Amino acid sequence: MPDIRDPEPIFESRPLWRFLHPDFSFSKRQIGLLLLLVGAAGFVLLLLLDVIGMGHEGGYGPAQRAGLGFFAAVGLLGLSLIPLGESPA
Amino acid sequence: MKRVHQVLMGLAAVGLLFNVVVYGLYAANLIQFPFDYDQGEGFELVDTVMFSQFKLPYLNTEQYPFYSSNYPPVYHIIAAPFVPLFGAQYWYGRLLSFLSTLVTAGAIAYAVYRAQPHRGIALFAGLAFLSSNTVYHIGPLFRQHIFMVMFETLAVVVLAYAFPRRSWRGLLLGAILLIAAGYTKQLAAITAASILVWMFVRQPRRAFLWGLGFAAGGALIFVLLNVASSGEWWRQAIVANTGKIDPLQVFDLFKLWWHLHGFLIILAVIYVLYETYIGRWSLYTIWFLAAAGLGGAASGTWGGGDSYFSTSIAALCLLSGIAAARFVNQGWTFTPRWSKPIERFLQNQRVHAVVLIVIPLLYLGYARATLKMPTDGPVFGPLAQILGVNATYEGRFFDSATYDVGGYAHIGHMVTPQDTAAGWQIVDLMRQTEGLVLSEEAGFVLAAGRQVITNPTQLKNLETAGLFKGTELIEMLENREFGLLVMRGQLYPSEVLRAMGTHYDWTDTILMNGFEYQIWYPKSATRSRDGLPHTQP
Repeated sequence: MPDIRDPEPIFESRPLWRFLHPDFSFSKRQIGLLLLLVGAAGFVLLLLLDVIGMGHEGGYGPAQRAGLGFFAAVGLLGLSLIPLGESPA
Repeated sequence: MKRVHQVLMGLAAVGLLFNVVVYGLYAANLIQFPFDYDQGEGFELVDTVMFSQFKLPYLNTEQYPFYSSNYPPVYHIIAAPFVPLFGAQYWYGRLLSFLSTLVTAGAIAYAVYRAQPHRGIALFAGLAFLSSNTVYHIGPLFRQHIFMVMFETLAVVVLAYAFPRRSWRGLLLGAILLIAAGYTKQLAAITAASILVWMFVRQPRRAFLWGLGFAAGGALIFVLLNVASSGEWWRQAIVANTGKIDPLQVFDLFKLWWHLHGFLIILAVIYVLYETYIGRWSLYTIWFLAAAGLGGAASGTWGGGDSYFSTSIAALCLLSGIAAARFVNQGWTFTPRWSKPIERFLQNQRVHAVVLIVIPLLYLGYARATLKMPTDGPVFGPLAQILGVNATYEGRFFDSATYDVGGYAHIGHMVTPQDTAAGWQIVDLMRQTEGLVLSEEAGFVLAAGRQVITNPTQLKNLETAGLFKGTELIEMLENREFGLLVMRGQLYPSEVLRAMGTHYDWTDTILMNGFEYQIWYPKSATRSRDGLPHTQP
């Protein structure tokens, strides 16, 4: 009886190993999630900049506002990619 | 309808070719000019001369002659073999830069044709790059920026095919081209980052391995340069090059970028949306987004400006070219089920007939938006009247971009024999001067056969980074050891300018290329406007 086991089952069961597979490629859903995470984290960090005392002056400056806009756009782009599922990014 | 399409394509070709002819004339005119046209060219020539003598230009600016370069070496090394043959001249550096824009345009046309075969559109994409006002400005200058754009474009075009095909030769060539871009100008880091991001999305493991090899190669050169320059490479070319960004300048330059390139930006954005939601991201898309976003943001630094958009313009021409060719060829692929109605819409014959009219009109509109031309002379004078364009510079040159935007280069007009004569007038003043001379542009000093002392913009960079003391230079100014100062933009650090203002007098102004060159003499032996020296207390 020949051995008909999946030759690389580990890549399917564990996301980290799958990620390191030579043929792994990000899907639109995965990139969407990644961008949503980056956008949300960046947006929150910029909002908190003054609270944690890293802002040079009070209020939101033009660079900070541009940054907030950028991260919001990144997050929204990520959100829009999630429904596109497993098609390659 | 095909006939109308052909006529419009012909008109678009005429429009783009006209812009390229003007670019060629401007380059031919500038290549013969023996002085700085753009401030900083002369210092790049000094770097080239130093490399030709096997010397590094990364030096301690606190010691006489207070000179250092802040640019990586590749462009100057390539130009260096010309120095022993022709001396310290501008023409070969300008010619190299001009030729590099032709190579970039060729690479863009090739990439468009390879992605979606359409000879006319591929040609338009290459011509569109040469037609851009930004490329026009800096293309024929003795500056390294546009040479970096050539290496970046070649690296991107090579890697876009080599990485998916796992061609190790292609990957190696791409890495070499990318390292060459980075060691031509530091701004190529944006292109390197976009390549790594794209590789990471495609195949993270291979991206990591390739990135490791690429970083090791780049780091090795970095360490060698730093050791050979006793750490000055790090101080002068890296630390001193980090300036603050002026948000208003960035906003204005983005507005201008849109105003000039909007017709093609529309096509490029359509292509980006297509790849994001229907196809898959190509390297060109990631490159375009990174170059436009990060390069555009960096344009707001002191010493930045519209030239920082030139990489994004290369990417824009490439991406819009592929989009245009796909529209004309009906070469789009719609795999997801939800996108099938778009496919049916584009395949509709009436819609395609409209597309065949709109695409050449976009290129025609772009040719008009980027129009710049002389408005005088037997050919261009009447032509300007026919086209209805009025001069925007000194009654003899039209530039479709406004000069009112901060960071937009105030260049592009042809130089005249009067400009050359004015340059030689400054050189004569230097030759008549006993002792040292200090100039904000190195060209006069080189022509006068004097030693080039300091690089004002680099001193300013160092001051901004908190690395400038200038004790010895200020002491020399206070002792009035310089017999003559030539100023154009007061680019020195504030303490140096204060010492100049205290111990020297501005006596004359010489006009060259529309800029005022101020002639300053030491107070003890100031010359009056009649040329006779007089003494001040």
